[in-house]
Amino acid sequence: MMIKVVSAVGENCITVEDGERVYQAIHPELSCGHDVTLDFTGVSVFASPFFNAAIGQLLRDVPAESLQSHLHVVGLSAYGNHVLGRVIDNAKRYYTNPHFRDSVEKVLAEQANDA
Amino acid sequence: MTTISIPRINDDPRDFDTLFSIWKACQDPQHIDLDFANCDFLKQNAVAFLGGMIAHIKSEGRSVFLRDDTLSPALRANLEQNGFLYEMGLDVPPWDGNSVPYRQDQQPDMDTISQYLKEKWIGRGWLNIHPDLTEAIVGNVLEIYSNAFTHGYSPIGVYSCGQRYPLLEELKITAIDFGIGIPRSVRQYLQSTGKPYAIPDDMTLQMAFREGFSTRPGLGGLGLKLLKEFIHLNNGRLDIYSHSGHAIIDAAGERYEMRGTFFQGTVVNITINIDQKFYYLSAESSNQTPF
Repeated sequence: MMIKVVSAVGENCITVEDGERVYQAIHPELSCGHDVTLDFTGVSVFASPFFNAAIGQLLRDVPAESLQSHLHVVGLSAYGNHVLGRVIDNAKRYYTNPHFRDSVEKVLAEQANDA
Repeated sequence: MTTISIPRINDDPRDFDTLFSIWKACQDPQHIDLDFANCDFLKQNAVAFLGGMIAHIKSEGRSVFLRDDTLSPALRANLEQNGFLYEMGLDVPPWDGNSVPYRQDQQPDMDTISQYLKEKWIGRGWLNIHPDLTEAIVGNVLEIYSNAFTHGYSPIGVYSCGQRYPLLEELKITAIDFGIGIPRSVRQYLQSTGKPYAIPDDMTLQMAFREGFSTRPGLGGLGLKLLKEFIHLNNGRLDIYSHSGHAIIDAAGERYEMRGTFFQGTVVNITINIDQKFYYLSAESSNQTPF
């Protein structure tokens, strides 16, 4: 499967809703081990909510090794690549460490130490 | 009729205290006059805030009258140029200058906001930078708008205004939502997950900047972190005011403090440095998916 993101979403990949539409299209394919190519040529602006929804949440039930083999991302700008990398790192931690979001304890501990 | 006198307002913390005091004074009166006789200048943050405040008052069925007869010629020119007076109903269209137009967004039309940032703010030719970098900066700032619409629950939308300050080599933009604010959003999340939630406003802002922390179910918690990194790299400054909390991100690091005033929503004030030695991208282009 090949998706030209500029046709499916537009020049701006920003919102969760747009990311969710891409996710709904590619998740069944990747779950079956099929190859998917996301072509970002022509997309100019990226924000993390889009990538969280489109790609990050794939890591919930598709192994990273399988995504490495079957999900091909092309035509991404330098900044888009930077944001995607951060989203993937964040998603890996989120789905492998159930306590990853528990920042409150860390902040409270830091406050206690500062007091 | 209650008359509120608007003074000169810049964008230092004490100026935000002034704005939030005006906000407080406007909470109850049914009829409000805004008087500008003692005001010779309003920075972009004040323009965005007053515009949103007027919309908020009207949305509650109360009336507010902008005393344009009290505007000094310089202030009138300032408010005509950025389109504020036009949006307030005066028949004076804005013109290009060092202003980034005043703007009201009731809906999260991110394509239109992206276009505004590219054409009216960062892409005005004030910065001679590579288009990739322009788009990276727009992406970073759009994270703020996305947060405002996703987390803010602002019944009247998001209010923006910007300004270029050539002598200071600064480019600024302010985005304000009149929703529930970061502290309430964080406390609601903490309460729903059974964690201690009686924490001060400044600490809730600190949590919001922590990578991976999000008040929404599912993945999130990167937007503010990415914006913070950009501000650090480019020697800019980011101020966020929400309830009585104040977050300051600049070259010196990040600080969180309590202020003596209160605003229910969230104000984001971004200053970027026009001096091009501060601009670069932190990542190289690659088609290798980093799984």
